[in-house]
Amino acid sequence: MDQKKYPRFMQLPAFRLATLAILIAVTALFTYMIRIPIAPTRGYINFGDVSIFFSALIFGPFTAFITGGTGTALADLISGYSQWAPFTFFAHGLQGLAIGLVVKAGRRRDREVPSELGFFTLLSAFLAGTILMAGIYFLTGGIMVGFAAASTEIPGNILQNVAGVLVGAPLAMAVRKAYPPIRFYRW
Amino acid sequence: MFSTAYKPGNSLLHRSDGRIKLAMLILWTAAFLAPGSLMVQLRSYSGLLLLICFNLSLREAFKPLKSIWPLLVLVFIITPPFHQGGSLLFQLGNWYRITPEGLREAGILIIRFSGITSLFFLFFRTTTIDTFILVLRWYGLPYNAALVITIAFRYIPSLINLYKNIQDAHALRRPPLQQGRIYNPFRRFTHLFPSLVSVMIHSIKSIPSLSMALEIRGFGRHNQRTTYRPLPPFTTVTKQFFGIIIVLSLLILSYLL
Repeated sequence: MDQKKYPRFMQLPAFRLATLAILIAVTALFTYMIRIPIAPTRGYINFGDVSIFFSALIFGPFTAFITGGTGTALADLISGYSQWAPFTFFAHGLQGLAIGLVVKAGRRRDREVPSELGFFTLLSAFLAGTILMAGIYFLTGGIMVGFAAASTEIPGNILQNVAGVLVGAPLAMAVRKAYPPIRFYRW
Repeated sequence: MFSTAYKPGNSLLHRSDGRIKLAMLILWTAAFLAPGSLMVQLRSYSGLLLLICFNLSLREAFKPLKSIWPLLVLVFIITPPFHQGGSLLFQLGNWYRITPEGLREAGILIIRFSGITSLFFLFFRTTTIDTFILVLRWYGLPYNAALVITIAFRYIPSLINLYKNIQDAHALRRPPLQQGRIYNPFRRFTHLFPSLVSVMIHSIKSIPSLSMALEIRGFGRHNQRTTYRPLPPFTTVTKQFFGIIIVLSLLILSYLL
């Protein structure tokens, strides 16, 4: 990152901590409030992945790791699924990290707008995030409830990631267009 | 709003130190995850149910199962065909067979998941979030990370109110005929998206204000931070170690017998 390109306040610990705290709260909100129940496991498809994709596209891989993992884990704590919180932290945290790293690798020089990332980069980010997230949930679910029952969660997890990329990428474009200073918030 | 929020009380677990409760949570979860017979898991779960009954109430003992019972039923139905051992008890078609081995395996998985769910429920029912964050700090979580989690918890309720206000504001901008409940998924999404954009922009705009507030309060300086409400000194909770030793002994005995 070229330090001269970004305002100095971006490098302050207070600013970075405030960014993480706000995005964690937003991720928890998207996970807890915006969700669609799915039968028969009494689970739900939530928009937490939208927030994770958004964080990865706008703020970078490190932020996406922290906010994705912690935000979804907090949502599990407050919504009655606290037994999943430790596994959710790693599943969604690594998902955000993978998406952020793929986007960072695919981001061409001077082309930072998500619409210019390219279909292949977004597809690769989606695949990397989905495989990590669904894989970790499958492994941990297999240990907790058996691999047969855990395999029924895979379609729902894939669907969540599809919603994440289909909504998260346009959301990042819309927010960037409406609030241009956000381009300085990545580290 | 939060279904598993802390429930005030004066039970033994409410008065116990959070550090010991977290250690017990981890150890007991590991005990549930360890391979063992059905009777061992059943004894462990029975002990946990007794603990919940004595510290909370009988109704609270089965409350955590309310959110997971469909998954437990799914496990009971879907597990036996993959474990064929012993005589055939029931057969449906050519592929769905239930044997004693299958039922045993399903029982272990059901008790394991119920036990872990009840453990976490009991922990957060008798421990406040503030105490939990202090305990994590005692175990090594950096101060910055604890502060981030605390601030995020403070922001969640206000963000929920903000989201509801923004939703209502966007709904009022729709034509009168479209202000009712929307059943079309695509239309529902198109109405939801502007609300998401507004919530995101409003949240991001509050980042500079929050960072200024943190700086005014001295965040980022190298002075050692103090805590308004610290955990009690560890030497005063020595007596509670007897409790952990007793529970550990019972767990080990249940595996050996």
